[in-house]
Amino acid sequence: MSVVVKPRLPVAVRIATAIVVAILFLYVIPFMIPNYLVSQFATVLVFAIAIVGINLVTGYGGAITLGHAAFVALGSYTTAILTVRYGWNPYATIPVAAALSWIAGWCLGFPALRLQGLYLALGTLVLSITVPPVLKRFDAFTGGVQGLNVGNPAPPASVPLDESQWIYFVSLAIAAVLYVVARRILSGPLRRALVAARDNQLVAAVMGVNRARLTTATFAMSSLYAGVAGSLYAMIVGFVSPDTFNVMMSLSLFVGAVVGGITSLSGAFIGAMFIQFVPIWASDIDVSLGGLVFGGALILTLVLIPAGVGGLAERWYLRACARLGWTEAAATETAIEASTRGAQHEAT
Amino acid sequence: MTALLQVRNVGIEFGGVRALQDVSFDVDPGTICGLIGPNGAGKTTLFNAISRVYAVSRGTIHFDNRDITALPADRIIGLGIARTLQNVGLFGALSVTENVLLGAHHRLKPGFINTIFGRGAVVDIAQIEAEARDILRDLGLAGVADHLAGGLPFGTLKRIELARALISLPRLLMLDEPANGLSHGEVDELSDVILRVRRQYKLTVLLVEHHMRMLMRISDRVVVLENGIKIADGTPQDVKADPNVAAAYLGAVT
Repeated sequence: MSVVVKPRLPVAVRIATAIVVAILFLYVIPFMIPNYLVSQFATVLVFAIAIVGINLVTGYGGAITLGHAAFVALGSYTTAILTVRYGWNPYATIPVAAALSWIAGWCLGFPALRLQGLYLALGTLVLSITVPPVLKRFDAFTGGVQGLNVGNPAPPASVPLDESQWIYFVSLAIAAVLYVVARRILSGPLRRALVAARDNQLVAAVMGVNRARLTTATFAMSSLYAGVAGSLYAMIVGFVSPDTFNVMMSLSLFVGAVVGGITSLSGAFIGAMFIQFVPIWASDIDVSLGGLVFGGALILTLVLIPAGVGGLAERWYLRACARLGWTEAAATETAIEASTRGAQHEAT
Repeated sequence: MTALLQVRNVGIEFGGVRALQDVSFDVDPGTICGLIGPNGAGKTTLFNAISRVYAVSRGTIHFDNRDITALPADRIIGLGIARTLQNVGLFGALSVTENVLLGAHHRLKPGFINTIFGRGAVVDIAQIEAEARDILRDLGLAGVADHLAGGLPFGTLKRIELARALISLPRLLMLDEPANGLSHGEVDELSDVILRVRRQYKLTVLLVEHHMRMLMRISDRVVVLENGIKIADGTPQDVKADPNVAAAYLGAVT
């Protein structure tokens, strides 16, 4: 029998943690490391946003999706087309990208989520296979194979940051907001309904959970995350082209979600680091062995920590909280015995 | 006084198998109606028909004078019909309290927009959480409130399911073999709990149970099914004296 630990950190510990996290994200990453790495960390944040979306739809919605690159592409091309063809301010395209991918998520989720398990995985896989050719076909609009040159948005004149630092901070702010939103979604009634619909459809229906509607809404929300990620991605890279958003990107994002922990939101950042840096390090070790090292690292992670890095970290965190007594008043063993007293009494 | 639940000529078929044939009965408000029959008689099928998990091939089901025969399953609990499941339908990944709160899903109506902006809920979440605590305490489950439901003893799980049904504010409570797997002492305790919650929450109860002593003790009326057909319907005394019922349970004597 396991008690659910509800951590409650002492104020001093909470402040200390906040300071460490703030120093790391607001000072060490943007100011202490080489410039090219800063923009890579901006990409990590963007991947983390997309992975949080996968956490929602796969971790809690129970639907395996291998098509997230399609929604990332939608977000990227929304930003690219609006800025390049219509001269929009790039930041103003972010909400448009979010709205369009949310709507696309509803439209595609509605038929797609009637598919179960592997069929859904295949369906979404086909979606991400379809995207690059479609983008190439409508070249008058999308720039075809050549892609579109978005350019990196310049920081406002009054802000003493270079382009990569600026886009890093923009991504950080948006990632933080979307992280908090996801935390809210996964607190309380909605999380219970999602877990119920994921783990037992029949009982969920008996409890009044409309599974089809709930999972479609989750899919749409997850697409919104991917779309925002795509919009930011276009600004970081400064360039969009069809083959960026291929099946490999979908698979890579899914791998990131699994390595970080499929139900772990904090793991999303770790998963994003994994898919951003491990392939680079792997090809540094040996160019021809790059894929092998990446695959090996993935298999090792899955074998050693199936709950993902984030899942493992959360378990350690809860255990530490329990040991240190940093919890809301938890049930004692005597109380548990009292609740089962009748049964034991009869057994003796 | 019209019946709260009216089952009329209900038939259910799975492929060629007739699970229920032409079953009709009423459940009057405030009463406890027992549903018995040998294994495979169609008791749980009937439960699933009323909670709309199974499609009804023929006949109608009315609840509170409303035809619910074609409603989707997820609308039923909101009308005031709550049920427990034969093999316990709790979620091992959720704590006991969360499992109970799931029973209030239709009262909270959580949507993404409401949840993100923390407003718009029909009922105050804190109020429902307080209700959950009260119900858990009432059923002697306060000590396990923060446990994951997975791994708790069966008798405890049965009571958690009852708590989850109660928080949905039902008018009709359907219990599918609540005494299954309980010891003698626990069965007596359970009978008292059912009688108590019926009074306390002003419930009508439909009860499937193999435990004959308990069922006969607390039911106002008993419906007997055999092979998907209703063979008897009356007070516990009438049903006990009915030769058809004895035949169904002990084999034909004629």
